[in-house]
Amino acid sequence: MKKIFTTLFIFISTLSISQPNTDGFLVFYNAKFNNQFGRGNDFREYQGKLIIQGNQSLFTMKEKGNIIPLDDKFNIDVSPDSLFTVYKDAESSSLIFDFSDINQQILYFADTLHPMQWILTQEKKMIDQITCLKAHTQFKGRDYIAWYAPSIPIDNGPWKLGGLPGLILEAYDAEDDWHLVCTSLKPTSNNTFLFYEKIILKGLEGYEAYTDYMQKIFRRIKSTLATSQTGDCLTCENKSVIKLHTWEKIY
Amino acid sequence: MKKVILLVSFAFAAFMSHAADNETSLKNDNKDQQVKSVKMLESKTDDQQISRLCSVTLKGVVNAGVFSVEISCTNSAESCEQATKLSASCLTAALKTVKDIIY
Repeated sequence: MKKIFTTLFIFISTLSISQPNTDGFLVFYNAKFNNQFGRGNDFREYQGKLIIQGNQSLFTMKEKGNIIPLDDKFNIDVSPDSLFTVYKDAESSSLIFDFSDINQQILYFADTLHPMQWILTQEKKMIDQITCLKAHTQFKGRDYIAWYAPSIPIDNGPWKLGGLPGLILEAYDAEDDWHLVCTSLKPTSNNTFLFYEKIILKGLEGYEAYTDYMQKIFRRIKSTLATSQTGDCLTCENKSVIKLHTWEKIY
Repeated sequence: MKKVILLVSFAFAAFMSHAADNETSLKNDNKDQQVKSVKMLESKTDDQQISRLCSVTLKGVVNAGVFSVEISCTNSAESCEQATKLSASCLTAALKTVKDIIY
């Protein structure tokens, strides 16, 4: 595996020297994500895939194997096929993330490309024979740690993370609810992102619109709970609690 | 995949509607899973006689990957039957809203 990876890396490095702007890369990550982040444990395994073609890239994270639902009849799982899906275009400084709401309708919103302020360290480790350096940052309410490869001069990474002087080969949050490690890096070509290019041309609302949308759903459920508490039992006491858990902090 | 999830959601929603209408089902069939907690609370009345209240909490979660909505309904009443009924009614109403958004 390591030999194949090294050979591929040398091959990619050679290609990147000879054709710096036309190469494509396909980066695979082993990923785990705790679907009950912040309140329990429901870790599932995913495969992260980062397709890089020129200035554009697309990240997806799809669940591996069969879903084993929690042994709890009070859980409704409406998770989309891919989590943390993000399209980036460095040329236009665009970032699009998709969001599958509870009716599984996919909505697209824009966000800032790589706004995070990284703190770089000299701490090193090898990921599949590639020397990586450690960096950390705080982004939308969470602390993230990234291991990037200065030898692969691509300032990209999984999900919204990026902006480091090298490709991110490993990333995780401080609570370790989300963790990705690169498993392979392959050359690729002829990837097109016409679908996302069209979305950009149509115009998109930003992160604020996304948070407004989330809060709207939250308020609607909350008001339903409030009205359902007006019963005819004078001696009864009631208390309803509704909590919204979001991976990115809602402002 | 989506079909499976939707099927589970349908089944759950149908089950919740049934649970709200039929107390017997709540008590006998799924007591352990549905009634999250039942406890007796003491309360003092004006004439200092101690009466006991039964408190029942029902909890439901809608998980959509990067976000989830957790709903918890707690009701206390003189009888556990009444408290369960109130909590089931509360949770059913909340999940009906979610169902309305879905469909």
